[in-house]
Amino acid sequence: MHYSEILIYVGIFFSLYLANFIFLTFLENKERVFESKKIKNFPLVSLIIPCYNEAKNIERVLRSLLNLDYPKNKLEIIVVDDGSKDETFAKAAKIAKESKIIKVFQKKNGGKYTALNYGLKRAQGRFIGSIDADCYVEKTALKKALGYFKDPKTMVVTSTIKIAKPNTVLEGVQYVEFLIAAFLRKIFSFLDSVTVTPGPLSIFRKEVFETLGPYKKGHQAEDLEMAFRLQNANFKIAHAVEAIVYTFGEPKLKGLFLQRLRWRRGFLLNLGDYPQLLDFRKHGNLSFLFFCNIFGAFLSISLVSYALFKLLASFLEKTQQFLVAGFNFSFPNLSWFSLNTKPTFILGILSLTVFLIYLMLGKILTCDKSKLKGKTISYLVIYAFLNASWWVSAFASILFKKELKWK
Amino acid sequence: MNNKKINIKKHLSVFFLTSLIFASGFFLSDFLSKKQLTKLNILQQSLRIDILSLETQFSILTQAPCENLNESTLTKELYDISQKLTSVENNLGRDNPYFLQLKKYYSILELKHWLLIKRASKNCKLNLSFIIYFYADKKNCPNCQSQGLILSYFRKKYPFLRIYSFDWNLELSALQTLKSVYNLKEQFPILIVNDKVLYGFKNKENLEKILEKYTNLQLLEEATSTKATSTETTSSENKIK
Repeated sequence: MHYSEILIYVGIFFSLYLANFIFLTFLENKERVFESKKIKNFPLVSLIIPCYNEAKNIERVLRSLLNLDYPKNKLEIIVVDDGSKDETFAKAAKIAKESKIIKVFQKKNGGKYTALNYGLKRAQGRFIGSIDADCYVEKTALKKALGYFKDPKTMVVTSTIKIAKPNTVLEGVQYVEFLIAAFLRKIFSFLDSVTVTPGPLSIFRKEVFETLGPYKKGHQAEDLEMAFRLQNANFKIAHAVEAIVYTFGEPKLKGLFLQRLRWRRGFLLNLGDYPQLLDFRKHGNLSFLFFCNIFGAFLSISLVSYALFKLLASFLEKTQQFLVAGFNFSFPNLSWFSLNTKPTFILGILSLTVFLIYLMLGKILTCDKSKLKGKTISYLVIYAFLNASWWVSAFASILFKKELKWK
Repeated sequence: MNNKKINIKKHLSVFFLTSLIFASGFFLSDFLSKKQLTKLNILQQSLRIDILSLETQFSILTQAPCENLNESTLTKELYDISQKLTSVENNLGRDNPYFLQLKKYYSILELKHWLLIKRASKNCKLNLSFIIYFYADKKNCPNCQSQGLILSYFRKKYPFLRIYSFDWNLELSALQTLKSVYNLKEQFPILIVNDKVLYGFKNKENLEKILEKYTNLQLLEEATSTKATSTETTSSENKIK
């Protein structure tokens, strides 16, 4: 057997193993998917919006928060302008005049985590949420998220992030990616292994900050650092799959690349800061999933490199064919015999089916009604290549100690 | 904290399930490949009968049965089989014993086809020309793939050409005989154009000149310009597409 074939089989076995593990976890917990309980008492909730040069977006997020299905006297919205150079502060202040629950602050630029901590100091609520300025929430999102705090052990509730108005191919790819992520995060929450408290919308009990302290820089991924710190303290993070928040996808390759480089680099560096999370005896499933993540990254890089090598070889072969014999195209003979019966192909089709099942589950769980055909095809064609390139860059930036500039 | 704990039983079940799915993939692959082989074998048998039938007709009749000769159909059948054989090779690998068996059988069919059509061409004045092409693996013949492509091009360009490709390393006594008849040396690629043996890679221009020299190209082109005959053979990695 050729090395490349072994690599493909390892990749498929690993993917199927993980897929079966996830699916079995789903079956074990299918009654618990929508765990949110109706809340009768409405606690005071503080929602912090850190922003930097968000003049274009601030009105939309504020309007969506004002529109939340939640008693207004139990809501506190804290806008922290982190030294924006645009009209962010003025625009937020203008909207604040319409509603007393909005408080707008301005401070010197210090990075997102400093803005969040600035807001934390001023937050009065028993529950504190962080919301990115370039997002907007569904009307019922807060109520549904808070319903998870009926479990006294739950310390943080994360929400489902969806891509708003995906127009470009790249945004479509992110749309599919986020749907699958919503399903997976739900599964990971059953295993007490959620590894991120995403910026778009996460709600914390105030005690979290009182016990564990404020946000940290976290290698420009403060939401990952916070989740790792929570896991290290064995604080429970629940995922409210039915609480939806919309964010805008990166429309351009460069923007997407920088964003994902930051996420993956942040993941690796923060994991380096919390190596104890890899201890199976202490963190069981979480450690297992971390290992899967890292192994998956190496596997993804290897398989994509091999695929690129094959594509290049095929291109060179076609070029040679063209140079030697001219354009000599003939349609492939489609018959029973043209069916690829190699085990790699059949197992590959099986893996693809598993992926489509997950996508459908993600779609069902998040009550998604959009058409996914085109987006899914784009995802299948380009995501693996993008993902591998992000991982390579993340590893490279750590190896060469390259600091990222972020805002 | 409890949910974080590794559940060994669950992981064992997952491992068992994954192994089962994985093994099913291999079984399905094997099952489908065998189906393909069986079907290919049936096709080869059918062509064998057609060739035998025609050979018998030649033997029974004193005159060649030119009016009944459907040369293009036979050629097409042979070409179709070669295409299918290539697909099977891609699936099973070139060293698979089942595939090698079918390849040997196919090579015999090629030889029988060549002998028969050569005779028919002469007797029925079909104005066909024949190229026998011996290829070897990439290590021994780096240019064989290009030569195969050029021959494919010529097969399409000149419908009067009948090209038969053979794997030099295939252990088949009939091929050994062919090699000794033409006293062939291991200098690849080898082309036998209407009984003239040529060694080494021939690019498009060279081959065009060779065809002009040994096949009376212009005359044949005119003779076959209105005739919609088709195609020829292929095999293995240096296949003529």
